[in-house]
Amino acid sequence: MRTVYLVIAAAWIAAVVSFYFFFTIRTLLPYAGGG
Amino acid sequence: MLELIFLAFFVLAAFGTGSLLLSIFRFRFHSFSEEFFFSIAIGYGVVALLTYLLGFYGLLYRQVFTLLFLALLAVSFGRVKHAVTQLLASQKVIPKLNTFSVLVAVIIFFSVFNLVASLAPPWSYDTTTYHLAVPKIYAMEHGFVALPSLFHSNFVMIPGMAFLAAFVVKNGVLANLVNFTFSVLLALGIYSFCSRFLNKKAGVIASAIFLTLPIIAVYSASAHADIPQAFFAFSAFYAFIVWAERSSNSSPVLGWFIVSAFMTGLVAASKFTGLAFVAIMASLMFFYGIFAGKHGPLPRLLKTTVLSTAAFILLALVVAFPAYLKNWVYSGNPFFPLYYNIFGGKFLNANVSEFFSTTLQHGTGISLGSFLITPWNITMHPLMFIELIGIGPLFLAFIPLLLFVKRNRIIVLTLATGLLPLIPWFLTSQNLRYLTYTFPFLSIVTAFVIYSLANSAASKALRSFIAVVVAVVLVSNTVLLFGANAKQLPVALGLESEADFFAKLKDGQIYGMCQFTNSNLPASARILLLYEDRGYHCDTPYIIGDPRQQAFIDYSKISNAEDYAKRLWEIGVTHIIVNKANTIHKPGDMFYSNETAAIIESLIKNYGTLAHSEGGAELYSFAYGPGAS
Repeated sequence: MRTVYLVIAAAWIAAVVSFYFFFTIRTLLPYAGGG
Repeated sequence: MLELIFLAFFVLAAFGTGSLLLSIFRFRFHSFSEEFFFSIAIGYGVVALLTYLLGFYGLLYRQVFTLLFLALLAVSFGRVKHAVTQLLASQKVIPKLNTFSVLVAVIIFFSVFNLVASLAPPWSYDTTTYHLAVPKIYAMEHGFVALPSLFHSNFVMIPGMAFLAAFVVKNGVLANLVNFTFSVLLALGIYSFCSRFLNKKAGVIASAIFLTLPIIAVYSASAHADIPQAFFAFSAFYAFIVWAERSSNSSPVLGWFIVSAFMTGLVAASKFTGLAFVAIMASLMFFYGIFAGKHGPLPRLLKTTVLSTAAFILLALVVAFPAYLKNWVYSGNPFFPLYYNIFGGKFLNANVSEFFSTTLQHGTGISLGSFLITPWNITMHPLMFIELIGIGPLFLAFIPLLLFVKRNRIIVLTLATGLLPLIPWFLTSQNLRYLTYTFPFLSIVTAFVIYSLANSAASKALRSFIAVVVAVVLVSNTVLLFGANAKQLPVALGLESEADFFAKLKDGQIYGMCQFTNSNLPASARILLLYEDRGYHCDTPYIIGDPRQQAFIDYSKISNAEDYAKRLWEIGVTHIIVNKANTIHKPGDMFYSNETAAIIESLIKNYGTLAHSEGGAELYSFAYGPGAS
């Protein structure tokens, strides 16, 4: 696999997962602790 | 816990039936997991269709089902014995998957966790409103009956028939457990498919991805139609691929075609959304026939393909027919409550039908822009599609990277089958749960990309990075699993009473009130539920008084408390439960307008006498008409 693809793949995965955790935590925080 | 023994009995009888049918037609399988998967799929389908038949004829008795299951087990005893031996032997295979043993452990953990969680009494909203409430009434009545105020009783319900069979045999917990088996068997099917057409390691990854999706983890422990529908959809596709690829190890070719059409019919009979899947499978069959099937002159190829596609659709619709027939018989509208202007329907009017269409509207609108951004939105903002926890990030993180890895025809077809349902879903009802039947396909494609990236000439750093990402997501999914289903464990394990469990839920259920009415009201009593749809725990016959989701009590003809009382008297109401503790329905909401709420207040004041109060709900005895004091 060419280096450029490797970089794109890694950046895309990191971006999606980071945004996912950001939005998920923001959504679920009010429900934490039995709220 | 006794339900687990009944579950084994249920699953083995279904397996035996399916296995026997497949052996009669001399099916050959690639592996035991494949044989097990298809045998149960056929068995569950046959049991559900037989339940439709027995329901029509008023034969829903425990003795009938016990005899039926014993007969099925007896005639297929050899097959069942063979399966049990194979299952025990297959345990030895697991350690061979060394590097993947962590994923196998994750699969086992999620399965055991949700098996235990499924032992809790039915509690979730839709489950106690209709997925199990309707089967419970049919079981109590020993057959199908018209339920004019239970709006959802006229939906197609093949999974509901499997739950009904479980209900007749034992109870709602067994029905919950049957729902659970659909998820683990689907994971087995995913593994089996990948083992045959991709590779075993991708199969383990795909199964783990599917079972740990937060939305799957939630619904595998609570009876709904979505995971069973996904199970049938995947088995339809799997059989189609075996048929289409026509490998030497897949005889009889026609048999696989029939299995695929049979399963597609079950998808259409599971939920109305399944009708789109018939179109998708037919398109797949048509285009495969033209572009990837046998070679030959185009006119001949076209003729053969059109004929086989037409036969496929016809067979699928024949299998789905009983589900739509039941709706037509009991409601006058096979697509109840949709298309009222065409089919009409009993206990339905244009307002109720139109309101139902309105309630289906979720999501982000139907512009091209919002369609293109849908994969992002369903990943990041599942609440837009009325799910609190959704599908996790792996689909979006890895499926686009399919562009970077070497693809084959199987994976392209799998991806197409996983993505095409997005179109009808987007244009009709953007409820994330309605996409459940696409998740097995997307799990496979995701696993394929992960496996390919990890095994390509990619850098070691990328491989490690992917391993860390997958591990972090699995840990996060485990946290969500605990958040969603851990509350069921104490009651499931007998460490908490049912009453304490329902009090803990804080969603205003009428469990306690139903226990009171079950013990104290006479057999002739008939309850009206107000601000409450969840009648599952009430054994006394009940009518749901929702002004917008039934027309048995037609609120357009009620302008004051007396009109209302007269109608309640006509339909035999003796008691009223008013549940203002319900966290979903409140006076002044989209269901109970302020005007209706005022009439209800007046009705209670003039014709009700408070008989009992519990957990925020109130029970009134109702008196109107001749002899009323």
